[in-house]
Amino acid sequence: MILFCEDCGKKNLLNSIEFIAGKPVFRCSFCGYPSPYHFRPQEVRLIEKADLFFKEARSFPETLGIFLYHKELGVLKHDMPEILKKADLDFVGKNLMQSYMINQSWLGDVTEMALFVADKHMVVKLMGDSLFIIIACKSAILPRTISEKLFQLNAHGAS
Amino acid sequence: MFNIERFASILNVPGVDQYILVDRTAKIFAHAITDPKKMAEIVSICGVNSHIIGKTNFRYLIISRKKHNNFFIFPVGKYHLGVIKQENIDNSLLAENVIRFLKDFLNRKHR
Repeated sequence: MILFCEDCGKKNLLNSIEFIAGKPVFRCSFCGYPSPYHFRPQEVRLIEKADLFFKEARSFPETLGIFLYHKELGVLKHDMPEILKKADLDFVGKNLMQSYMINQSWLGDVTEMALFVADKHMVVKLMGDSLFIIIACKSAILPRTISEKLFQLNAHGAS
Repeated sequence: MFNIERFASILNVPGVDQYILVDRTAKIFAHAITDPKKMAEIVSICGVNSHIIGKTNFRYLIISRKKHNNFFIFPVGKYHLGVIKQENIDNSLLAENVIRFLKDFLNRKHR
């Protein structure tokens, strides 16, 4: 994604953003100025609701962690064990997203993807058309309550 | 090297509808699946991606689909196995059945 710096006007190839006082910005790679970044309305709705979902999902003992991954911008929010740095999550998110997308484009009717590593599971769900929620959990199937809330989150975000 | 003829007996594993066995370059070694070229690409790319994340702890990947004919990818040494499950079987049961088959198959291969 290409964006222009509000201060120096130079062209930036965007691959990450940061949040300053809760507002999304991209930092110019030439002058360092933080220009505001504008998510699409559907993304804004999903990101706002994701905070509440994180809290609810985390209250289940089966949930080990959760993060929100944007197709072009990488990890937006996370509540994962501290041992995992943002770069680790970006790496995991990118690989999971690629796998999800190839299945979605070639099989066409994908509803969810789950990776089983040792005794842990990473459940991947596409929200809207650019955001992925990735939940690390102990059980093979998401607790019903989390699944329902995830469904509601997606339904509300899309509307 | 696999005994491909014997590997085809995976179709007798309860819950397995279709299968494909490929290497990291999407070369097909055995299959009984619709549209094998396309499925080989999916299995190879997703298998490699999953291996990058889980290394030797990668057990399997499930792609859930609307009609419940979910697609599974398992590591098998330097190969990856793609399985389409029958609609009427539970995911975890199918995974257990396939993993048991693979263990038996690999044990017999080394005898």
